[in-house]
Amino acid sequence: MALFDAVAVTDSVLDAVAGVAGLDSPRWLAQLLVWLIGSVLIFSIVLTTGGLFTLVFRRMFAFITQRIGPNRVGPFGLFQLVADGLKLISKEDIIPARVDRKLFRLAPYLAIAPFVMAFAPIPWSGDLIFSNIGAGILFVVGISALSPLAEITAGWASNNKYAIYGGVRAAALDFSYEIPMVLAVVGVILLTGSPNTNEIVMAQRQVWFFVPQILGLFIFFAAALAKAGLVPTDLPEAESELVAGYSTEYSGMRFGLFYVVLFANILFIGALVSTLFLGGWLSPLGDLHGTTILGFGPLPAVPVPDPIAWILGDGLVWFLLKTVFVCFVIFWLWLTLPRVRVDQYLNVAWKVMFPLALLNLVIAAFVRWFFLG
Amino acid sequence: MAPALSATPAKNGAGKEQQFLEINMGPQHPSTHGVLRLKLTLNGEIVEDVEPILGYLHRSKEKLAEFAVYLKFAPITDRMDYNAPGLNEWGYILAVEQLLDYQVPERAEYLRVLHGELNRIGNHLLWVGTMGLDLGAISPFWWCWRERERVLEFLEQLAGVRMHTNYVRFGGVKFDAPPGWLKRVQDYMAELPLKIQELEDLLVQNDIVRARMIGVGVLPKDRAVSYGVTGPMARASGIGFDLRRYQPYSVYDQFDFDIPIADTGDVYARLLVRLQELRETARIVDQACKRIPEGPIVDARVEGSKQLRVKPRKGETYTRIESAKGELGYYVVSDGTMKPYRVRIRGPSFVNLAPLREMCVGSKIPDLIATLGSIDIVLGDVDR
Repeated sequence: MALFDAVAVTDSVLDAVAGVAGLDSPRWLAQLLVWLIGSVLIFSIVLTTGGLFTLVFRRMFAFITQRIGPNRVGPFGLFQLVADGLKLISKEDIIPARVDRKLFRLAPYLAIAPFVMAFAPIPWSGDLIFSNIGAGILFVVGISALSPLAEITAGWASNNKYAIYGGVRAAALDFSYEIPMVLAVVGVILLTGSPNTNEIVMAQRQVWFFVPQILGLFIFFAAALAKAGLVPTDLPEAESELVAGYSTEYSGMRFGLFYVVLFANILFIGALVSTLFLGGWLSPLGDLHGTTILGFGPLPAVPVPDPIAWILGDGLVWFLLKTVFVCFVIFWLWLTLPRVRVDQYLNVAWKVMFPLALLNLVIAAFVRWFFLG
Repeated sequence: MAPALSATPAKNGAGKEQQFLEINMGPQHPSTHGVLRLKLTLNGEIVEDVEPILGYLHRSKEKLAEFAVYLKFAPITDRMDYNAPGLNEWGYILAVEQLLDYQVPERAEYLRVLHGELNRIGNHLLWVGTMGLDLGAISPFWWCWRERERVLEFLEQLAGVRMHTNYVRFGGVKFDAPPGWLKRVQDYMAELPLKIQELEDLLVQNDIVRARMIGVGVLPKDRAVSYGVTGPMARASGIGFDLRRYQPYSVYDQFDFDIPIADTGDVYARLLVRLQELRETARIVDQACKRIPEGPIVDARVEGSKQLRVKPRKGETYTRIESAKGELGYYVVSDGTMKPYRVRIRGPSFVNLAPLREMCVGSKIPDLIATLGSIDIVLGDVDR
């Protein structure tokens, strides 16, 4: 599938507009515009979805525990997000005395930035990819490895013992689970032969990678949950132990940013799992554009109408469906499982996951050798 | 203080004196179950020492008792163990009744049992929920809360109040059961074991729960005896002590129920014991609903406002009942006037909290939280 060249399209539009005044628009202007619009788009998509997920989570939580949940503000309580946001913004901005003010202010932005950046190379559909860089998945993994920086910074700057415990736990988990997670990604790269995210998706045309890499999927999923500090490994902010971990001293919108990052993290794991293992934007029905249905017996072959091909064929819809499905599984785990103890889970990282990840790598190599030559 | 447990700074590998981190957990902390303050000495995640500091909820209940007529202290006892209020007032009334010579009608005894056991169900449900919360599982809490709400509704229909029912009276109870109430309670007791099964499916068989609970916060049998631990916590350590069986009061000798015992003495055993006790309590309530006789609900000699003017004979009594958390004892001294001379209360939470240090030293912070939660303390009962 040919990539949609956003720069060329923007350039031609700009040229047309400039042409009215008899001028010629330079190509770098189009490039700059695409970058700007793209950044704003990713930023708003990630943050809005993160915010929306808080609502989805609360509703799901309510249904699982046989309550109703927030349904008063707007249809299905959809505007609860706006109400919560307004509440958080209008709260007094409290910076406790004797905190490291600069770092304290910096930490929420450090938390958000890696996720927004990591979304750039993720293909939403064949031609909807904000930054189709060659090292795609390596960039994603590398950038998301920056996230403990925010947690440690927040914990340290807060000048609070609970916050430091949270920050240190976050760091320990992040460093331990980074390794199995990256090894699981390497398995996928091995099968694809390229770290480019779009090529990873297209390499799954025959079979989605969760089949040859089922072990890798579980390792990746569990490690990603641990890295993100989600149940059953929400140790950095275990509220029954550490009050709120590294975000203990935060309030108002600064706390809101940490909260949104938590949910953006879930979206990020969902997007990454569906890209790496569940075939990304590929449709299980195949690319329906230009194909026909029926055509057996007396029935005439009918070309698939375009709107249906857009929805059911390869593309954005399937990527979103898979992502939301993975997010649903994460919520589900969150609402079901208790929390493991920090030493137990570090043991799991080094004594179980790390050897398994190496084994998975060997499996990937064999699959590549036997089936892909 | 046992010397083996003292937190003397150790030498680390470099031969330097190791410094421990002191941290105050509470009085404002999500999982100290009220305003308990724990002074922790931590070596990383390892708890080197823990010192509970009490008194943040002290309301001088025992002194308050001396300023009012006997009946007026009963609603104040409700506020002690506010998770199972009905059992507190029952214990107090039972103690004062030792110094009175009223006959409690049979129907009133059954209503007291129903009232008390419903309170016990509410308490244990709350405990299972908060235990899950302490471990980080949020759904069981809401499931328990939903069931507890049903129980509180029954109490409201019986006594007019959801929690601090103020229902037990000298020589009887305040209200008779409303029409259809016994049937509704009985129906619910048939339903409750299914709900308990749901909780068991979610918690007991869960690998993470087992990893977090088995072998954590162990209190051996001999230590439990020397600390004077009672209630489900003692029964989880293998002590089959239940006052309803050991020293039956009211009509408990007429019911067929088992005393669940576990012998490992860890947090997991406490979970199993309490879940089983919920089932046994449901059995008692069911039998009480079936067998309750007709008749008066209070001794005719203390009906109505005569309750306020009871005058126990001169003397003293120590009377104890099996509350939801253990042995709840009242030592009442009467000087023959209309007000108690002295009331001393043995709260089960306070005594059960004592072995916390022994159970926790050397374990991790999450284990400390699990152990503290498993004791089932209510700070209103600890501080009084």
